[in-house]
Amino acid sequence: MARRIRPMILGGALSAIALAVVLVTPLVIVVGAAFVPTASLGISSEEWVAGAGAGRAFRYVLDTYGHHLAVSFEVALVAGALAIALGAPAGLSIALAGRRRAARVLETLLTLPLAVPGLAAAVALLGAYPGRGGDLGLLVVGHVLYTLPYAARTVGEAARAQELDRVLEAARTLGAGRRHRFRLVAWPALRRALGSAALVALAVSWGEFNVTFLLATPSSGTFPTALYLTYTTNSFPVAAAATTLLLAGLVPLVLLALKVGAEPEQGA
Amino acid sequence: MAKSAKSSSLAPAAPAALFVGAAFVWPLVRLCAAAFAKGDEAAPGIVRLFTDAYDRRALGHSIVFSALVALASVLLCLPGAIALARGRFAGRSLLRALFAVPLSLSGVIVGFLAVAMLGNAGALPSLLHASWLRGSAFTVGGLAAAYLYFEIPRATLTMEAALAAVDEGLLEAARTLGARPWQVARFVLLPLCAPAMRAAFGVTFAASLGSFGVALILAARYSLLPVELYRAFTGTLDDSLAAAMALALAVVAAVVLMAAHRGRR
Amino acid sequence: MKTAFIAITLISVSAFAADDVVIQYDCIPNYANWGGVTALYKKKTGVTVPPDPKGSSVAMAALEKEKAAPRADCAYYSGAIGVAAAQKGLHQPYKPAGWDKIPAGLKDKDGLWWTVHTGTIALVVNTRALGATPLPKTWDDLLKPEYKGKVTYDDPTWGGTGFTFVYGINVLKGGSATNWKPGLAWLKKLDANVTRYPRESIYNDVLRGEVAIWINADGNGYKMKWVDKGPVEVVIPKDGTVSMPLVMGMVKGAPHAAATKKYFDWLLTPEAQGEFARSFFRPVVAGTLPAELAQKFLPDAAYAGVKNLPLAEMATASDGLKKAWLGEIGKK
Repeated sequence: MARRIRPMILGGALSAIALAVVLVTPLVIVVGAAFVPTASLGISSEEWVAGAGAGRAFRYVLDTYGHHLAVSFEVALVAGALAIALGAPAGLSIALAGRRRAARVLETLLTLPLAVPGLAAAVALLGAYPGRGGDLGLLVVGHVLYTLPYAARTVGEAARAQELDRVLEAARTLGAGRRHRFRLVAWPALRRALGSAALVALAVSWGEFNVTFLLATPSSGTFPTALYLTYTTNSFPVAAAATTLLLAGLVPLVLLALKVGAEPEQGA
Repeated sequence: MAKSAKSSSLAPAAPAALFVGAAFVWPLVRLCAAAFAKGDEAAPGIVRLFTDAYDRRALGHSIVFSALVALASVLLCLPGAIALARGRFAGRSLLRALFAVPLSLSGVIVGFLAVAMLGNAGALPSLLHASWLRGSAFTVGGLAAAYLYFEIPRATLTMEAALAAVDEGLLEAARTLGARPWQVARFVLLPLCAPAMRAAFGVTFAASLGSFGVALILAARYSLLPVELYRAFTGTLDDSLAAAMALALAVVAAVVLMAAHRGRR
Repeated sequence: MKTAFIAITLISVSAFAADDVVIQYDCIPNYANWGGVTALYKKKTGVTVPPDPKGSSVAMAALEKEKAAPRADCAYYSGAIGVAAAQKGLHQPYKPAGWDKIPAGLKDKDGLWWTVHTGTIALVVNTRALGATPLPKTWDDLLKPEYKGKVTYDDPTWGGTGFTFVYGINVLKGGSATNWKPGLAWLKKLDANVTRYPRESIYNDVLRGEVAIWINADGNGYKMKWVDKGPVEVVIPKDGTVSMPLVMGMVKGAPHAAATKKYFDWLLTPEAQGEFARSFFRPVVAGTLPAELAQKFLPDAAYAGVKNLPLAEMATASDGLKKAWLGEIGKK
């Protein structure tokens, strides 16, 4: 059987490799451009600010957009924590509720934000809560909206995969109290899923642009909005350096997430 | 087996549900209201979206362009997805990682990558000595290439996950029954892959429709709804039209996603 | 690992505690050297003025939207839009130190807006991108078929420089503050040669040759030529052009009013004015343009045909003209 299928698999594998090369090459070129000093037009105004020489581009990015980096960290941590605090219990209780109608409805409700483009959700959010644009709180809300569904889904899937409802029921009949059931049964089973959800939440928040672009102001901008500024107002080396810094945060998060079985997805 | 007397409570899900209600459902309701309100203009935004030639064209462009590129990405990525799902070869996890990283990139970065590669001073025209590629990033072709960039990982990984359940035995059975390779492909393989392809189309179409960052950086005269939404919302302060456009994007994306996932358990 | 986590949290929290910030809408780093000016101010006083990509009209729209709870402290605009914003009641009066140094026609008598520096609408041409095609010398040259796909000007509903050009060309072609027909007709002809109407700064695009002819402020062109050493020439059309004062206004209800006033005071000092001059935008305070920079401008003779249009009229006409442009050209 494998004999006949193998040529197809081979062709498919080659196709996948080719596509992967197409995807990765621009990233490699851009990161390379950030480190290899090439004569580039438009760097003069940046040299006025950050001096010349090696590492100029990175120095400029940290000088001018350091605040955006700090905001990104803050928002990612807060949004990630909230996503887990809200989403994990929700995902678990939905999984344990079995086939109940209410559980199905809740599950659909919690994944609904993912079905709608970020831009539309941001416009809706600003329309419903006017005068709060630029509020860091609203920005966090926007980020949680896109990370909470993942947290709920990841935890729920893990609970279902391990038939946690049966295991917990067994533990209950054997006399284990609530706290024991949580600490000795649920927590170990879901630890990995929680880690995965946290990583996905951090990765999604760190790279989020569409919602943030509409919700942020100059002082509450995240690093991706700083990237937009570099793309439109800075030289290519600085834009490349900023992109590299973003990737430096994103790639480890994504690779770690992959290790625990998750694939963070960002709205385009 | 009798259902346990202590039925599992859904109370822990309440905070999350309240949050989604307040931060998503309620705003969408307000959005509908705003889209149907007249505001300062002669007609409600939802009416003007369909009666104004330019805005209608932007809506049409977005839907048609997204659909075509999504279809292309699904067909392009199917062989690769099959290999990732069914193949057992070294480097599979590396390959998957190479798709996962671009998947996590926001559109604005993809737009920048497109300019870096295909702009007037782009890397590809220089490296390949192909001057006809210069500036192609800002053409519709360049736009399509950029859209394909973020659709390829989505299509591949979505189909890979869905193809895991395909029963290869059916292919072998068809062959033993005397079917020729093209018949196996057309009458067995493709129908087996169809749910996965449908799901991938839904996901890539929705992602393209809502794509803002790429269009913001690359779209020149080719109007697209997300950019027009941005203009209406931030520039001309036409809240009713902006709401109508946002609603249109949300509804079309949600409908296509739901239709694409139907038929999967 | 844990310490790193705590450190990051503390650093990010402290970044928020910092209240020494002035929010300026429309603070594009490579336009009129706002990058250098704000960096200098931070070095002197520790106060951060973060970059903001909003164009003049977008800044005004944002201020209107945030009227009930202002987020911005001040805004920078092309003159026409700044005056329009003041007319809409979005500013509060404040006359910075050095007020008397500003010529009479370039400031509001109550202090609602004032000019910080000026530019002139000109053609910024990347000669390498233009190739063999000759440099345009007049506005009507741009209508010729050989410039097809080579002309760009900023979306006038978005940024102020583009609007100043649209209003200006209307006047140059025989129109007035109330009669926009000549200008719009001419722009419609030009539309055939225009590649796109960008809504973000394309300074670097022009420098790199992505765009051949950018109708924008002359200062940007001079900077590209003399500082960035790009293959750029500035052309002031022979049939005349318009000057563009660039103005600042303090937002009504500014969250950091005291800091903003200090910032405004500083912007009129020779130090700040000289820093603007490095980008070839003419400082409003006389005597702050260094001689070696002054001689890099085109000779005064080239500037003979520059018209200084009354800002109040431009401001009153702005909403209507923007809408008309959208209807005729932008949304076609």
